[in-house]
Amino acid sequence: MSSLKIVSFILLMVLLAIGFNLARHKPLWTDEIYSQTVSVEKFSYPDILLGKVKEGNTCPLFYLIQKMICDMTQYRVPSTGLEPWDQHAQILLRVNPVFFMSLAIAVIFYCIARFYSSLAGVFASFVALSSPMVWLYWAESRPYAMWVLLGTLQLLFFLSIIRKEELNIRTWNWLAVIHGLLSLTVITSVGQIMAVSFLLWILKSRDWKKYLGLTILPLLICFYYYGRSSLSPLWVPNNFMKLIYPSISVEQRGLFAVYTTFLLVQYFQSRGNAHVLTIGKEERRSWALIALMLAVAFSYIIFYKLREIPGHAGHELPVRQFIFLTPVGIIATVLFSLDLMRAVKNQMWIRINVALALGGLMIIHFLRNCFGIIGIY
Amino acid sequence: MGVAKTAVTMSLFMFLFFSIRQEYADAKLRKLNNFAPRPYDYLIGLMEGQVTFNRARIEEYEHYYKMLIAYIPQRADAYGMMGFCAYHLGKIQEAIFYYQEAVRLNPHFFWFHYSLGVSYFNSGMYDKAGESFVNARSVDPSITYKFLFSSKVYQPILADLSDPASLPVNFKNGLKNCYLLEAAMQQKTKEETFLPKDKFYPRIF
Repeated sequence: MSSLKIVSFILLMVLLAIGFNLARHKPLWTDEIYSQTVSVEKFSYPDILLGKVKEGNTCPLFYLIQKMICDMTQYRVPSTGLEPWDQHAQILLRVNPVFFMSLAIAVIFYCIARFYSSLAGVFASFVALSSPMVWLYWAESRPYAMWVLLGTLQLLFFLSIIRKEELNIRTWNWLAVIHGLLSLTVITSVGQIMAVSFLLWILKSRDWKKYLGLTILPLLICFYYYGRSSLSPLWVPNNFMKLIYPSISVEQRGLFAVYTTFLLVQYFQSRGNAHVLTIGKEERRSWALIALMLAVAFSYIIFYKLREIPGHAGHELPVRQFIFLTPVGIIATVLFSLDLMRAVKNQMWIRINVALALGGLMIIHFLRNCFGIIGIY
Repeated sequence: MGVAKTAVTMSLFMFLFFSIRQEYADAKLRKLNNFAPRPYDYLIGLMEGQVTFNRARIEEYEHYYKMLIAYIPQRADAYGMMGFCAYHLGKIQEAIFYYQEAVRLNPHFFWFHYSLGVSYFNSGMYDKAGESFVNARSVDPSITYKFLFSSKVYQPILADLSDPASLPVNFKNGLKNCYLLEAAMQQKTKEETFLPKDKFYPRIF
């Protein structure tokens, strides 16, 4: 086993310890109790698989895993009902999210360290641990942690595909598996699947057969479960940007703006054939993916706005519906930071200043977004 | 690097340094607000002996007050609350330490002296308990109330109190207990009859 794999494994163990500690101190809340009491306990495996659970999201993967964990440990909700402060349930019901969120961070570390450098891997883990959404949903027995892990893997496999000139069928197939799992996790993964598939169609392959498993089947699965879902009415808040901000902070948006400026500068330079800045090809493609993912988020907002019942009936559209932007924000921050550093590698003074600015920005990012919530429970 | 370039880099460094320092100060306050273990009904129930022991719940409160002390070490009320939590978690020596600190930082709050006295009493340190009860009796009640109502630590707990009219009653009972325990301790030197140890507990207010 390589030293990188060993370090990643140790990191995973540490993250699991942090996650279970969070779970121990965080009371179960209404949605978790409802999902366990109704969707997991009262429905059989075939019913869950057929999307018969009475939830907004009827995709079965999360409920199936929860049911399996409960059956294996012979756990049943007490006859008196599930209390928020039930230490046994707080841990057991969160094995699933704690494991998947921890794995997501460890995978980010491993892949970035492997693609770039160990230091980049450490930086990526720091950026991931600076995301408030990671901390908020690390120990919540709902499908969000799985969504973050699968979203992370989707982006990393996409990066892996576009890094190479020739198409690697094995990676492609893995991405198809991830898309399949995404479609079995949340119905709103439809936008992510379409965004990645669209870019791959543009950049890699236009062989429609390749998209049967990668796109068509996952989309059909999503639409099937969408048809079975009992979506309660949701209304979009007037300041709809607050749905996106927790996943992509102001510091990250600042970085994206700087990077976009660099891209424009490079574009105009290339027209004059004077290459001072060199932005990598794959980072340009990543930039396109991130822009597309943001477009997906805005499409959702428009979708919910169109479905809105006048008079704010139902619930406010929750921030967690946009958690798929969290891995997008993390990976984009890492890639753009690394690329900015690489773009100025021959100019020592600028390099020092860019490193200083990026380091400072990330510390501020951590203090603003995470310091206040770490250890909250 | 030339002087101008060094100056630019140093300026950037200083700018980031002060920004981070300011962010850290703001983040600490945000964290304390986020961590506030609302609601305080369990804490109030614990004080009134109306709830069953739940270690995890008390540890939540303890965790918050420990953090409050770490960030703002000059808060007597935070030490008082730590003493209360530590006592109910069975860590009486630790509770005594926190109440001592609370008394040191604010010797004009009745309930610090009272709770310190009760903690001493329940751990068998009767001389020190007696001293604390004498100190408690000598406190001006108006200063105690002023501190209680102005404290940012006590305000949210007071807001969760179902019957605010119980405050003066509690104070009177506290004073009565001071006399009762002092008398009982004086008796002890003559004979071995004594009040049951577990009848008196530290109070928040």
